Amino acid sequence: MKALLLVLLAASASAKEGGHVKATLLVSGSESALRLVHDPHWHTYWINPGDSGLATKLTPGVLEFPAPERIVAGPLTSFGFSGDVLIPANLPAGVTNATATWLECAEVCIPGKAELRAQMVAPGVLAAARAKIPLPDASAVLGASRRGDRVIIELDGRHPLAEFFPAANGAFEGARGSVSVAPTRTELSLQKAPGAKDLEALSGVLVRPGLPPVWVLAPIGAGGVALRNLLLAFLGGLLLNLMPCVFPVLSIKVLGLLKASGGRRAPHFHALAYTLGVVTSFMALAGGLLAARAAGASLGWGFQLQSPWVVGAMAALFIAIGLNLLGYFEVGTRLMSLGEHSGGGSFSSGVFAVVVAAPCTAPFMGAALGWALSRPAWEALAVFATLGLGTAAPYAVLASWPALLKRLPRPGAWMETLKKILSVPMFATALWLLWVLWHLLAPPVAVDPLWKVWSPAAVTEARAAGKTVFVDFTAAWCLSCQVNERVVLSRREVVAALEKGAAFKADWTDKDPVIEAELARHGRAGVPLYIVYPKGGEAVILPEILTPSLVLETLGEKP
Amino acid sequence: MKTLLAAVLLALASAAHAAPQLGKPAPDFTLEDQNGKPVKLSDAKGKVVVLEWFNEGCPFVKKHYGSNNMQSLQKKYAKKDVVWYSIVTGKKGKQGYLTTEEAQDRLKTMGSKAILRDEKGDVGRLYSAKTTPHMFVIDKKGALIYMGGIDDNPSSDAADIKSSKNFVASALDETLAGKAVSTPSAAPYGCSVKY
Repeated sequence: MKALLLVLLAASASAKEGGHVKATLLVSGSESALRLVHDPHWHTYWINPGDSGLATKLTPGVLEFPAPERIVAGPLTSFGFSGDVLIPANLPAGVTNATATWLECAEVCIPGKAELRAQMVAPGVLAAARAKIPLPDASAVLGASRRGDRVIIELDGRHPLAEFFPAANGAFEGARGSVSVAPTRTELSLQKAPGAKDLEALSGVLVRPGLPPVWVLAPIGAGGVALRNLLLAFLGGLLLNLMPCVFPVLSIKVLGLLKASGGRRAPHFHALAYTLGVVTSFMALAGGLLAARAAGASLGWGFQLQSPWVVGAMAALFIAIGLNLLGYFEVGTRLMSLGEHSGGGSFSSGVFAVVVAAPCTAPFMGAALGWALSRPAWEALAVFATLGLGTAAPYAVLASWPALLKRLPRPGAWMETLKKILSVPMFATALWLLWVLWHLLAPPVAVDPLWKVWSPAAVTEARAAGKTVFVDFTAAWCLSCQVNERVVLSRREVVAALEKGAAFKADWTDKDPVIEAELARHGRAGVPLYIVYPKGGEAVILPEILTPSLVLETLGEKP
Repeated sequence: MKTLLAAVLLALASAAHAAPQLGKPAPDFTLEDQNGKPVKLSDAKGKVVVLEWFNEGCPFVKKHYGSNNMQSLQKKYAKKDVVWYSIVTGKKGKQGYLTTEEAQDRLKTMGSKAILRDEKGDVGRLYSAKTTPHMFVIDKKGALIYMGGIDDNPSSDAADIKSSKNFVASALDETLAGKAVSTPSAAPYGCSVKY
């Protein structure tokens, strides 16, 4: 009988509290804290509970939470606490009793409530808890900006495992979002919740492993991001000139300038015509791409190279240019306008530069183009136009100021030799295009056993098995992809690191709506895209140009 | 060839629907009701539709059912020709799962037109349903005009209902009167949907 009574009493006490979380109110001097001890698999919630749940409250009083943890259940993510947690509290002066209310959840949820009387504890215990409250730190974040329906937080330094917990409930999806790392910068991307209003400012807790968590309060720039993407596009365009697809063509153009530097009229006129050619071609390409996407086609940057006809024609064109450089025949010169001085010639050579640039993605270009294609048409066109201006700039500058040309060697017989040398990359490009053509036409053959064929299900499975996953989104026609694969991803130490986890290749040589959708999910419109899923972590996006140390570090190896 | 193209376009269309969008057509679906009979959302076109994510064991759902708040809304708007579906997402074995018999039994005390069972969670994912309850209102033309919590007070205490602003009721009143919805979205609150 006595035992039954005890059981009943215990039952009523636990029913009052919810049963799986034990709450106590601790006081030491002027410090106080709410202690929550959770049964295994049970948790309670932070000020923003995330996708579901309810924040723990203390009345009277205010709770000052430490950084929460992410609690993932299928597609849903909540923010909260498990285990033994001390939450510092500010109680009104003289108050020794307070009521705590919370929601405790495992698979099921139970509301909890307890009227608590403060218990004295040794000094020092609560000071340690107070030290864990994230404090404001204006220097932690470089800036926050809107990019389509995402908000991008920029961090100084490399933090592939950084996490952000937004304070506003319902503004963002609970999932961690993707992280993209560059050598000296990290971008955290938060996905706006469906139907949520745009926030003016970002407020929440930033967690970077190895550093104390900090409270971030930053205005969310809207115009800034457009400008920033325009800048990225311009830089990308500039760098495109150095990419192997464009560099030979540009060099030939400059040679043409040297030859003509004597009796040319209106140098600005040529610069302008060339710039116009480049910009118009980029806009035409972008316009076609946008129109096709609006009609529901699965296309991204470099889409024209998914057609065997285009690739075949380009291969023929490069062979023709190569032969021309060797002096075999003079047909086709007009297109490249080697030594041509007419405005039409300069315009068409601008067009030509864009045609040959397509297989190359320069650094900075991927992010800007991905952003552009998620924006209204006029913004996308503005980005492509800026990309064109960047691409045209080096030649336009040289052509406009003949004084600069004087710093180059005087024209002479060496130019004929250089032309012959420059024919080599032309033939190499033609060979490579033929190789692409072969890939487009031939059925896929058995590949390297290290690289498995990518599918969303295969990645989920490998991640569930606790493996570090590397995904290479590539295409035979993407030159940057080929360079990364040959120079970085096939290095012995990189291969060894990849073998420890799971490596997947998503081949976009042919059109593929599943790959296209996955690229879009990460804010990209084209390849290359490299994603690492660290053990138990979320996606980390690597830059378009890889280095072995960056890959090894992201894979969790010491470079 | 034509069918292949259609299949590709369909795959694209479904991939594009990563999240439901206000003012856009509500994603269509077919689910079995409490009798095992298939129910297609678009068959209700021409009528205002409410989708309510339901889990009988969740304290936030209990808040609105124990107080009779949800049933009275269901009955009130059924009289105004609103189609109200209560959706249970979750496999057999997950908390909140209802068998055919259980669903038939629960419906007797509710005012919903049907209890739809989303065992695979596909429809929950289609709507990004996060919590129970999570509410969606679709207008007569089939466009999504409200999504989010049932009211503005995220608590599990039924005593709070009186002082709360019910977003679903106001969205329904407004759309039935031919007006635009003044609060088209709010943060959903409750227990997690048991995917």
